[in-house]
Amino acid sequence: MRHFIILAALVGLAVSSGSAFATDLPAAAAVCANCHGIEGRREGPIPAIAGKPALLLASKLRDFKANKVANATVMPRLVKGLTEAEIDQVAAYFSALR
Amino acid sequence: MSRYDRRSFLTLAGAAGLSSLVGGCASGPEGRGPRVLVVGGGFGGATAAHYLRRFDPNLRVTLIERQSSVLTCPFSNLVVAGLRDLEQNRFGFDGLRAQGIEVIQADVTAIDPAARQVWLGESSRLDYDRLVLAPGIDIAWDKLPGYDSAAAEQVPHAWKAGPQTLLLRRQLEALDDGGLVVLTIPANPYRCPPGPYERASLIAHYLKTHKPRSKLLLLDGKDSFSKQGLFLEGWQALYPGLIEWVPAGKDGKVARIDAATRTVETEFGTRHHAAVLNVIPPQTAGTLAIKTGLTDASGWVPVMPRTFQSVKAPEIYVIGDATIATPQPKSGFTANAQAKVAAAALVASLRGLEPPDPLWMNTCYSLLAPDWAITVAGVYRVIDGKLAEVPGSGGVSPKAAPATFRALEATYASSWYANITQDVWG
Repeated sequence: MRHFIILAALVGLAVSSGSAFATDLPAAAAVCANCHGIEGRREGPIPAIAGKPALLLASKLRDFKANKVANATVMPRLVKGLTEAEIDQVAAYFSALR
Repeated sequence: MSRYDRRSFLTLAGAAGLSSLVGGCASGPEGRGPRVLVVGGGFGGATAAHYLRRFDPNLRVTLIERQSSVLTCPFSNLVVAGLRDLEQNRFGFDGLRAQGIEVIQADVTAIDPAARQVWLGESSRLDYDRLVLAPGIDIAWDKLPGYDSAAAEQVPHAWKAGPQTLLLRRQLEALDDGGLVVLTIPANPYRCPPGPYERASLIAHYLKTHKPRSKLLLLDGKDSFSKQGLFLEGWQALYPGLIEWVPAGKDGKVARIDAATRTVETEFGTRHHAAVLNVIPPQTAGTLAIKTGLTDASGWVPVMPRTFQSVKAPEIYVIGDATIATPQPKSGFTANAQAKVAAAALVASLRGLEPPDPLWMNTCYSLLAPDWAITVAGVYRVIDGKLAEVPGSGGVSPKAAPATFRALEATYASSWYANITQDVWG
């Protein structure tokens, strides 16, 4: 619930009065766990992303999207499918996790 | 909230506290809200159970799976090649139980969409408000002459992980150096589009290492395949002269199998005799989806793109390999992504709200050797009412990349496997 409130404040998600169902997990962030572990917390060759500063995460995602990250593999191909707003949502969601 | 949804909500409120297991006995799942059943504990089903509870901790979620644990198809080709123990690919359900999900080991014998009941065996029934069905694939035993379940005991398919995987492994171990291995590959669609070519690569790795005079012949029902350029490039670099790929247009299409003599007869009558024969046969949606009437003439399940509700029974959400979700591939990664979208849509539906805008991703890692992997990635949305790849996104690993890049993707493949299996089974 704490995350929910933080996130709602950060990205202005509709909570209860909207016409669409909103969880504290944006669709664009839900898929990240496939590789980064539940809530992006698994540290390994694929790094954990939970709790990192939102600005850092967002700028890294934009660098991937612009092919500016050396030795990147799948991330540029995946992030090119996200909108600018989704990049900010993903960054806000993972940075709010502690 | 639609009238229908409101009715089910009220009915459920009235029934609160009653066990909905008819003719059986169970402690039941945690939670007081609507009852959601998930049938199938693989990548799709287990992810759905996990994320339904995350999205709404009040839901009573019950997962029904035939086996007490599952063996993954991803990474099973490493077992075939002797590079991994089968048991490393086994996952149980204690992680889901710890989240308050009830897990029942049972065979679902029938689904009654009109009564919204699932039958376990012949005498037990479970009621549901919503059902998630993740039945995976079954082998289409009637599609390839000579290849039935008895034949598969001699000539493995190994396209469902378990005893079949070990049977193929043992046959490769028993192969004489110089013996011919034949792998037959079906036309689309089938589970894991690049899977047969990863298997070919890792069998080649085993042969090169242990049976260097042996050859591998691939008889394909198609003229092109996933990541083809990258596979061919890798085979040339790693296994020159070892693998011969015969596309459909050059008589690669298999017409008949003689399991007793391990002989393959092609469409144009060429006969290939194998020392080890691995038949990846034509497939359909899991039998339960067919019996429930959810499939169309293709043998697969049509779904509504935004939510993955069955077109034929909207209270049933169908996810994973059983569905028609082109251009999304039939992969464990995709099933996991579909499960999250379906879980969010299902929770919205129970609340009478519109589903959130969906987004799916997929990444298929294929190992050509323990330190050489390639990927194909995709991002998908609903565009003009249909599932579609997001223009400008996705694609395959670069061609002619240095060995360090292939090794990096192999490292990520292992990391991905460790992490997705945690996301699925906890």
